Amino acid sequence: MAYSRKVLTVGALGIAAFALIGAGASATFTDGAAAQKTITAGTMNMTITSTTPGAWRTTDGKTLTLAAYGPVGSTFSTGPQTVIVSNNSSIDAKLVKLSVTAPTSNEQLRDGIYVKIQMAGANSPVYDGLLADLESSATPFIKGQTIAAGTSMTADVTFYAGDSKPSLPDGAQGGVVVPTFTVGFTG
Amino acid sequence: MAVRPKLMIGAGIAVAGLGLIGAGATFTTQVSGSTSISSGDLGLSLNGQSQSSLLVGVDGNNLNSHFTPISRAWC
Repeated sequence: MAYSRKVLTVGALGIAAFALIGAGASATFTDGAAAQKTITAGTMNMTITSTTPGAWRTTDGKTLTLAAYGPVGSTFSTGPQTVIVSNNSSIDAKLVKLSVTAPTSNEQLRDGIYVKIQMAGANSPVYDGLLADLESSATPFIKGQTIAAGTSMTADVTFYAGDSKPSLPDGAQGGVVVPTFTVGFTG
Repeated sequence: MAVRPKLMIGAGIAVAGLGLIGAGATFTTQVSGSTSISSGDLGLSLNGQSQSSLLVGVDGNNLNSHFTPISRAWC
């Protein structure tokens, strides 16, 4: 059946009107709300120091050198060397790695030295074993410990041989070893 | 259902981006402490001479080595 021209025209106008209504969807009232938050990044500032006589540190507080000890006999103990690591940051610092180096002129001396690390307030040491095994043995226990912002962590470090452990071997005579502990943090 | 290649590439880039954030978005610092330990020597001497064997002497003159060499006693 054929439609008249008028009917077609009216139909077309109707469709156009609907289209306009559709287009009007973008013309609705609009409004919005925004939330704003300022985020500031903290700066890590860790320092190390000691109350042990003869210890000194660099001006930036990053490197501590304890007094040299010796010459020692086959049985010796340095006694507790107090080491304090302070978190002067505004953010918490998490321990991620303990690196140990011990350059020496005498491997038997280095391999015969024991080290005990006792945290302040703890009943038992976190490590009591050979210096040579410290890095691999202690890192899993130390890793993940946190020093909160504005606080410090104190540990007593003792180097020794003999007594409850084997004494230094004969070949350890006349040697020098320089144990160095480096503690890495993230924040 | 097949996944469009562009979508897969986009997801891959996003995952890689997260990986980069995880790898490099950490503040780090470190401190270190060191000391020095030296061991002594133990020397034995008889008649003013350092030897590893025991020498018997009279009036400062070595007569002979009469005993098997002694080992250094490390104490």
